[in-house]
Amino acid sequence: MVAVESLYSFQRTHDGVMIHLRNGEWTSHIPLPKGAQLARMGDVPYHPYWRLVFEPDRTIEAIYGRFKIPFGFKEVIDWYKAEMPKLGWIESENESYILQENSASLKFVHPQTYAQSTVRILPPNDVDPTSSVSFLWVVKRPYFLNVEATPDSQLPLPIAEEVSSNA
Amino acid sequence: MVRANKFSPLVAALVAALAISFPLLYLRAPQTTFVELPKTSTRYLAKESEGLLKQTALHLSKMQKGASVGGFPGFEPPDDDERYKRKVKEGEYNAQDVNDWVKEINNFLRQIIDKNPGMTLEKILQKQGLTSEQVKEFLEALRNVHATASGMEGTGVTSETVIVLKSLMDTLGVSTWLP
Repeated sequence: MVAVESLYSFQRTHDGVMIHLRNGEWTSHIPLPKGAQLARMGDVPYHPYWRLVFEPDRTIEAIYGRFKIPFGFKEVIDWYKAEMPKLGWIESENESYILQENSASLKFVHPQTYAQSTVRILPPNDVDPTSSVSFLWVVKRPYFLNVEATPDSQLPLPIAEEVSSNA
Repeated sequence: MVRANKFSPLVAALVAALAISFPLLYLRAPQTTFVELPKTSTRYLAKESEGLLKQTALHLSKMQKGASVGGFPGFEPPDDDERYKRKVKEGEYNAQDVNDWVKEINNFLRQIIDKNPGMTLEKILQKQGLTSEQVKEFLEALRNVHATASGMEGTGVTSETVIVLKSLMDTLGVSTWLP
């Protein structure tokens, strides 16, 4: 067993809990190219967050982050189309869109984890030479009040039918 | 004067007849007048919808580096305001900006709902004439604004702002945490 220096700081929100990731941390579910940096909001970096949303019949787990990537618009699109499948992601091409030199959104599903993710890309402009990329990773799990009495092996799987409708 | 007096009962009767029939004619008029529908792709939307969608897109654009959203014009900050220009074009707005802009977006979404009750935003955008890709872009921009604001809840963005946005998105059939 390894002792950790400190627990994650978290915050209660109106619908659940938000956990702030530490400096330099990002989920291994979504790759980041070399040179990616946290986007800034005013004078401070916008730290990625991990959020648990509690709804009456399900729990939503979401990770969201915003980054600056020193690639052009098309390069970022090509990079993610090539790298996401290496981690088992399948692109939902019907859900994705690319509006030439304006914005793009690539949607993926993960057949093993039932996760969904969106990679949203805004191109460089006359003031900002980097592409702005935001990521949203989401898993939705059904929740029932008797779930705590159920052995792990019998816990319900994440909501598979939503994923299959996008796949 | 004598001649006028001679005809005064007839005139009085005519005036009385007009007085009785005029309100009847007036009241019937709206039922019989044909109002032509505008010959545009928006003819099934409330007439203010286009302006409200345009305003919503403009505010979404402020959080998308000033890029056009859904084919509507993007937000162009004034050339002589370097700070504002960097804030929008580089996406370096702060939590207070997000709170203010999302409140504006909420205001426009609320009016869109009031004027088009029961319709999803996707349907409204389709009726407005946006292409399938533009509809996706508009909805994705809105979802992204919700995710950004959620990450700032309690640190410059009030819970109320996020709750209202989520509630309006629910009413408009736009899922907040992906479909």
